Amino acid sequence: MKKILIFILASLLFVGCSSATPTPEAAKKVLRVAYSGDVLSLDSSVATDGVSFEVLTAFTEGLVEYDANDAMLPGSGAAESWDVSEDGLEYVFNLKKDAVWSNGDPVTAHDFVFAWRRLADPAMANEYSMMILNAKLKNGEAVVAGTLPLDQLGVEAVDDYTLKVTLEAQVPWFIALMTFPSFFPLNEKFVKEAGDNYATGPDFLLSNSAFVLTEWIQGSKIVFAKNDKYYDADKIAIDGIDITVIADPQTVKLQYDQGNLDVAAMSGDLVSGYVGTDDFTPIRKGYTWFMPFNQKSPNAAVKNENFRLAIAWAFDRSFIVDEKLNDGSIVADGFVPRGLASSAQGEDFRDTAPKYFGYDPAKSLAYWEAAKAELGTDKVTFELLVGTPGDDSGLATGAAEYIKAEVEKNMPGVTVNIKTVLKKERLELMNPSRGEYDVALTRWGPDYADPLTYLQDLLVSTSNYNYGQWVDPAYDALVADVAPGGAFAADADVRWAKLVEVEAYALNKAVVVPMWQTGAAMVIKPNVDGIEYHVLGLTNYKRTTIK
Amino acid sequence: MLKFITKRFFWSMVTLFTILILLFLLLQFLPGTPFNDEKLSEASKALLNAKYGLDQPFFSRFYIYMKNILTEFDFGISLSIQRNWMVKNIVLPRLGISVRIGLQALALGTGMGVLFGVVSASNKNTWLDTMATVVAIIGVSIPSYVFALLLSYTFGYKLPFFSIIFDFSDPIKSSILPTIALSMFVMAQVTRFLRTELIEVLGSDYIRLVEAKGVNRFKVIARHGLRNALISVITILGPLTVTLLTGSLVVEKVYAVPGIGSLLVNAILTNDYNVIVMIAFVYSALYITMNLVVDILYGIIDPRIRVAKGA
Repeated sequence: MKKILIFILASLLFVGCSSATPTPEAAKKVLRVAYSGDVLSLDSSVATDGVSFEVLTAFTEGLVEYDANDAMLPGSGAAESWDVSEDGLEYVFNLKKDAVWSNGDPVTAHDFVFAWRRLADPAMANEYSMMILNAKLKNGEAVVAGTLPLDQLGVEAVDDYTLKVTLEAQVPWFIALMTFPSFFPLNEKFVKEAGDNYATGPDFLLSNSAFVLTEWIQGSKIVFAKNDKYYDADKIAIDGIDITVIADPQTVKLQYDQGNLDVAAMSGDLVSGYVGTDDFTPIRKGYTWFMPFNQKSPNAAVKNENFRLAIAWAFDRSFIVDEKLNDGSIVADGFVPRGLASSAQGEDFRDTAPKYFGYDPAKSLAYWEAAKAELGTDKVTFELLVGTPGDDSGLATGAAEYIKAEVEKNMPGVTVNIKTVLKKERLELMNPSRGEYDVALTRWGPDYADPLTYLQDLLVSTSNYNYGQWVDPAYDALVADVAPGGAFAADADVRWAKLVEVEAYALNKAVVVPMWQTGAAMVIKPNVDGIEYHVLGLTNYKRTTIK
Repeated sequence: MLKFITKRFFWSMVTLFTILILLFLLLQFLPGTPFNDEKLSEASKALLNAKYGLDQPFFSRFYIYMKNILTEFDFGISLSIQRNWMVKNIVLPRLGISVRIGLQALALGTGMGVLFGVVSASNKNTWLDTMATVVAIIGVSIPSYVFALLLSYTFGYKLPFFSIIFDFSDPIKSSILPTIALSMFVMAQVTRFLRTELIEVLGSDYIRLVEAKGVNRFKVIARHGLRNALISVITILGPLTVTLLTGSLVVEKVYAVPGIGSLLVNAILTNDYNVIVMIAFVYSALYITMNLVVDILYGIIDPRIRVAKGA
């Protein structure tokens, strides 16, 4: 019996040793990237998630692209140049004539018209048809709702290389929207021929950009090769991109350390080993985490301004960012994130607006005393709604525990009950149609490069996303003046100053408490250069090099 | 025997049918909707619900659901992945990978378990017995997540014999670590059960008789002891299959195996009803099949069971 055991152990060892030959990467320069989640759709009309948008950007080129400095210049994408009418309601894009799809068809204005109509098509019921509304395309609302036919949408092909877009109102962020995948072109003939198979694999997908999809194994990998038909192919320095889906952060780290990956995002608890090395590349993202206070809650305290201000000053947001998250996130000094939008002079919104809130227990206590007097009680209990870790990115539960501890310490008499639910449930409870919570910890990603994507879409009384159900006609009026078609819409400088006032109005009442702006702790091998990350735009690999 | 199998098969089908009904009912209680995007307006939600038939009354949805599954084995399309992919086209390729690794783990775990169990029982209270018991206890106690990470750290990273993640270009070799990780629990359970059982069998009168007749020890254990002791192992194979399925959720995540484990978790998180139904159905079918196989194996190994069931 002992002999048998020894034989088996020995043969196991043999199997182990015999397979110890790591496959060497070919001489090709392929960028190896890890994603934590899988691509859900490669159809630009259907896609709704960040990973899909990022992958779509690798193989499709829209009218305009951000450059490394976040500028959107003519010629950066499929449009050679564009003209805007005096009133800002009409855009005419002149398309590049040498751009072709990977099947050889030219990229024309008709491809954009088809794609935008398909996005708006009520029969497709696309979730991101709301982008049509954000762009304020003429008749957009009626077309999306199905009350007007698709051809009434404010986009037309004047000729093969001239695209004319008509808007309902002047939209300062219109050009920035054109960088977004929902507005990418689609080859009508190809899409229709592919039918239900469209975008399900390399055979059913076209590229008009630097890379072309060669393999997609759902849940595992997405492989791109350089697109030789791309008009700027000679400027693309890498031969392809290999994306591997790895959900486990420990495994990502092992793969990266072993040299099987060039680019990966490290989770907060694993990043410390890389800080200070050449690999460590913290990047900023546009998501702002914040706490809305439900004004329809039966809990009187969350409707009290002094109570909300007391909470806003009761804890140290930099502690959450540095100790709890540790992933490149930064403290949100205001509701509008840094890097989202700049004034006509190129100044970031955050640099033109004041910083809001901080850690000041004395101030918090003073507000709490005032709140107690107004509420007529010195004991308050409220519920803090957060998503479960893992499901709700950003490790909100860790932050919630810290908030609870600080609030209960600095505001004697206050009890915080943390309620943890799945993200989908949290969103349901927060939806104005339900509104079953007191205070929540939630996030919002920008839809367009303007402060209104926060100040209007989350706080105006008529908005679907007014989670706090805050109703203040004075605030609504302030926003209406700076919104497209409003009194200050035409003068960029005046509008900017007013936008700063709009944010001040809401935050001085602590309608929401901004928490942190998300980041990602990227690690990138030192021989890789030129990956362009953007706060609002999607990652661009066109100028990436591998030494 | 044939009558016995037919009867068991019939009841398996009834169970599966009941599971389908239960699944449909349970999904009604899943909080949230498949259209979870916070930016979705009520109007768009209504459009989506109409397009995917979720606005239909309960019984008409139930009728379509049962009809499509029973007549065409059609589970519909995924509500979160691509929206034009048939669920079976998403699940089946991934199922193959999961089942293969699961079967490998079952075979390896059972094989090693039987080996350790036999070594342990036939060398009772020696250092070999202690070793095997320690291994078994470790296998039961260490969570598969920790063990999987330990394996990939040791044999994937420090001593890079194997790939850290599952690799389609080398599916055999890169499935070795996940297989071992998954088989640990099976191995431990089989060792423990077999050891106890075999010790009892080896102490019984008929074994003593065989030994008294002068049959050599190897033959005693292999032909007379093991065959009787294996009943206990076969009994736990059914439940072990379930732990393999749940264990695969963790192991698949660590080794980035594109199996159905991660697919199921994501489907539950996003309320992708059709994917949940198909995977839950497949899991149930696998479990029921395993039990059927176990029942048949009983009959083969121990004729008394066949007789008792009147077949």
